Amino acid sequence: MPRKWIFVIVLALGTSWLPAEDVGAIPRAVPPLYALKGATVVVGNGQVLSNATVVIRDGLIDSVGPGVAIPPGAWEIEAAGLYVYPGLIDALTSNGLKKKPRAAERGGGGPGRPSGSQEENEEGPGNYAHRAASDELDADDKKLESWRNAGVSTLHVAHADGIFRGSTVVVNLNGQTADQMIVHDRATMSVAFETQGFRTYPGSLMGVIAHLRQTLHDARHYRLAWTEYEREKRGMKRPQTDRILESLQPVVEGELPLLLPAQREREIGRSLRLCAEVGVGCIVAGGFEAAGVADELRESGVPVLVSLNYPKKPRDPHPEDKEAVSELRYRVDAPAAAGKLAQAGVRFAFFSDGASATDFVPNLRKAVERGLSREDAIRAASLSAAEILGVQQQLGSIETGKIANLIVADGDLFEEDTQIQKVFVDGTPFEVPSKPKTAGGEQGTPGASLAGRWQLTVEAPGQSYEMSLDLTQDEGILQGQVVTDQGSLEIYDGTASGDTFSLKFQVDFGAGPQEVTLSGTISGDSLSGSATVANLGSAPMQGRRVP
Amino acid sequence: MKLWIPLILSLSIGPLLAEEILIQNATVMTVTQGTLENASVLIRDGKIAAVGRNLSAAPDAQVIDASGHWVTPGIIDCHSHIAADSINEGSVNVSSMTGIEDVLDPSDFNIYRDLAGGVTTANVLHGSANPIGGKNAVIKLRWGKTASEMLFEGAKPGIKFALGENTKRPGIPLYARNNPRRYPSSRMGVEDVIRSAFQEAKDYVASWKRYEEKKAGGERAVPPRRDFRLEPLAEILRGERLLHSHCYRADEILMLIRVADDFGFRIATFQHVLEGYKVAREIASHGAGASTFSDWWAYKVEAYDAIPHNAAIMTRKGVLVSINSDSAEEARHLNQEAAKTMRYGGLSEDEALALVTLNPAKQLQIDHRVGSIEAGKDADLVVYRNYPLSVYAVPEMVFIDGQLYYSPEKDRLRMQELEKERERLLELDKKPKKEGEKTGDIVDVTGSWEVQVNTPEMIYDLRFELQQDGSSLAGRVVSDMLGTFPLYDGRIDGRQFSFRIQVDVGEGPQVILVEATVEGDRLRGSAGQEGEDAAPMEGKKLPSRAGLSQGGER
Repeated sequence: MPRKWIFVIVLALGTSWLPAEDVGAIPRAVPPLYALKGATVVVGNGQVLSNATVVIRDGLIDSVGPGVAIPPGAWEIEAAGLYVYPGLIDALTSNGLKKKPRAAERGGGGPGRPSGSQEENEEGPGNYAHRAASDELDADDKKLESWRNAGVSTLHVAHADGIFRGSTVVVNLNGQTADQMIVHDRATMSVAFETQGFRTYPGSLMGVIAHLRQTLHDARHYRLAWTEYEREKRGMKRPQTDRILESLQPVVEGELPLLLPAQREREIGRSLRLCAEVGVGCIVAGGFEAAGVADELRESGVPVLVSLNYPKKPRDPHPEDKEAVSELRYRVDAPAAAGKLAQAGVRFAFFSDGASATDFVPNLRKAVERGLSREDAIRAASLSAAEILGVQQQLGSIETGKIANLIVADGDLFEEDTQIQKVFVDGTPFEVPSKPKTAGGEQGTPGASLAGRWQLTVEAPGQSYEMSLDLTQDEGILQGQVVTDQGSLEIYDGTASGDTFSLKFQVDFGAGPQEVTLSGTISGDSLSGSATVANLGSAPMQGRRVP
Repeated sequence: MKLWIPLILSLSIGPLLAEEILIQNATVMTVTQGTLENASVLIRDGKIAAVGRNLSAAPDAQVIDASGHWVTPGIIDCHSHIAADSINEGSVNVSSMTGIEDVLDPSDFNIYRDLAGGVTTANVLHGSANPIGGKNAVIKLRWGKTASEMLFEGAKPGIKFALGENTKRPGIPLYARNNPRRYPSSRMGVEDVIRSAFQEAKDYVASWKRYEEKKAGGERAVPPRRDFRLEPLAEILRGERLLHSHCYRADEILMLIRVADDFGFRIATFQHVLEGYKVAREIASHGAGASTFSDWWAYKVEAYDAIPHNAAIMTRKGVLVSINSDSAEEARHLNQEAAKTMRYGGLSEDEALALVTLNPAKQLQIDHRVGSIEAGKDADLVVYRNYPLSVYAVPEMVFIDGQLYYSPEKDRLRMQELEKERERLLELDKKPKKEGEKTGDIVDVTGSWEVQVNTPEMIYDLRFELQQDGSSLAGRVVSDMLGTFPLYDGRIDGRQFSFRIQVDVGEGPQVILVEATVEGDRLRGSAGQEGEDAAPMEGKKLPSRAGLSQGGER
């Protein structure tokens, strides 16, 4: 056997990379009129239409039904044998927000500051009620594409730090700018029972609850004082302006519900009690034990966002460790929570809760395996979510006049091998790359991360090519761009497993688009492998991480 | 005890409160009416209906023959930290806006443990990190109920204060090395914090009064901001909230009495109060109770002067005394803690038992409901095997509101239920699920494979002879051209396997890594020197007769 296996294949890349506009399967100029013909349409409200046509006009659903006429000029899409679902809604996530260091707009209480004084501490750090998630969206977040590819067309985005976390926003996963994505820019006021360290108030759960209670009462008092002041300014000392209390006005006025995390029975109970006591609207998120307080939830009308990030089995436990039945029940019965809530008549929707995009539908499926009907599962992930978030006029079902957010799948979404082919968001079609049937399943072992920027050299005989890679990694999925001196090209079918990776992009050498596959292994800050052009051959590739 | 079974069955179906339960032939320690031999307790609607000899019950009553057993009131723990998700808000020196009720954890297993030790009511207190702590919650240990259902209905609200070392420590540089110091750092400072807070509370009350007056006079007025930190203090001033103060030393006890006298309120209990025996008269004349340990001391400087006679001495000086646990473990044998006062200080049986029943009930102002075995009170009872004020005492039945919440038999049934549930859950846990279907992916690659490695120069024809054992792989690689190479580092995971061989073609040894994925009787993968480009590889499994057993050497 030879010491080295030498490649003699010529990588005939031609002389130039074409600019990105000409590349890819996604049409950039979007015609406003589509007709999906002959599909099984799962409307989202419990109805299923067979052999139906959906007409999409200018981003909205124009008509839907079995006998619908196809308007002239429509781009007809043959959908016989295909299933059409409403775009799924991730009812709570912080995906889509700009990454930035933890905000500290208000309060502080950092080291060196004496914290004995109550007044200084009580406002507290962690109070970001005035912050709006709609102000901090990142339309360029590459991760969003993986969510859209998973059938999720809409996100309810909230900040993930602080006690009062700010108002939340409902966005569609379509648009070049953040503003284009926004569907509803004030959906809820997100709060959390987040302590600020033992030495900063509130430093305990009971402190956080006391802080929430006081602040909400302060907001009411603020309104009272200002109303009186505005009635007759003369003769009254003006109330102090406070942007946090200002931003809580819609909450105490009952227009903006509080969104509280509550997984365990007692956490849900205490959230319900707090909201009832202060007199504000309430949504709880978590819900694995919500069935235990189903009566209270139903009677109060408080909806539950059920987590799709099920608790994991403890890894490599000590052989003598016996999981307590209470913990085992919590973990094993978590996927059964939604089914029980449906049975008890409690309103609920689903949220990803940190699970990856590729787990969204599979985890819905687990809820179905544990007693939720398929209809209820779809409804919860679309129309119910829309109702809870106050966007049911625009979203959640395939009905005339609503936003055209649709999934086109090659089968029933709850069948394991069903693939999502297209996702329409705001009437714009997005092709979903067919899943690479990777060997050994999707069990991409979390190995080295490829996220970041890489400088690559491909050594084709007679010529070497320099290019850079901009990658994001979400578990085993790679996304990003390959940048050459002529332009940047979108990557697809990117996968990583352990320390190996593979990704593809398309170039046009003048004879139609050609697919280039980069694959190799990563070792620390360097990678090596090969670049392969279908039918032409491959060449060795080396790369290193750019800090 | 022959009638236990029907009792357990009826109680396991649900709370049959309308039913009568008659505990008979027992030694009943009533606390208020002395000890009655061969007596009965009749329970109706969750309350004690009658106590005495020769009681008769309705024909359908559950009758418990408690011959040879003792019945006492349920034990009341006046200082507990069980059943709460947080205990201390120590970031500030006044945390009266916080409360245990907000964070009750009805699933805390310590509730059940303490219940099994005969405790039926507990005063769950905020910690002692700051001079003015949070509001407490009095609960009944109704294991299995929700947080709201555990609250002792109508119990007077209270709050925790704390004096001495724990509260001043966060202000001492030694303890606050890398953190901001929090005032106070001395006992003087503790007093100052408490006085300032009460002054603030008085001002707060005055601001509301001014507002009410203005409003009544038709003047323009905005109500003051509700201050949840000052309101509990205002309630103390009005006598509407009980003040339970953690303390150790005589000087700080006297300090708080002076503060209370100055502001005109009464302290409900001194907690721990290990030097209480030194100032028992002053405590008694203020009208405060004392809740102490039996014989727990010297764990810090302020606890050096403790003596086991503390409870007895204070009792003799007219102080209302209780013995508490401050510990989920200690709470399990408060009956024995109380008994120690008979040895150290010579309290009577009734006096000793009252330390953990009637006296804490009085201190918490719930003695109209619990604390003794009297008609009309809640049927919170403990049936003991052996004398309750001895180390041999074992709770055999614990009733709250006339419901059996604990007995060894009920516990055994509960454990059986739990084991059944565990089985159900473990069954579900290994259910198919997606990974499970990868079981179908687990293949056996044992056998011979015809393999081609496609290098740029040439195609190598090889034969893999593989032997799989679980996730490890052994065997060899045979090349007609190059010879036979044993494989090592062989691994298989699902459908993917890898191994290494060492070859030498005259240029020194080289390690070749082979990686492949199996699909049916095909394999695909790569082979090459590690760190170098690998060449694609394909293969096909040979029918089994050409397997390892017959392949052999050629």
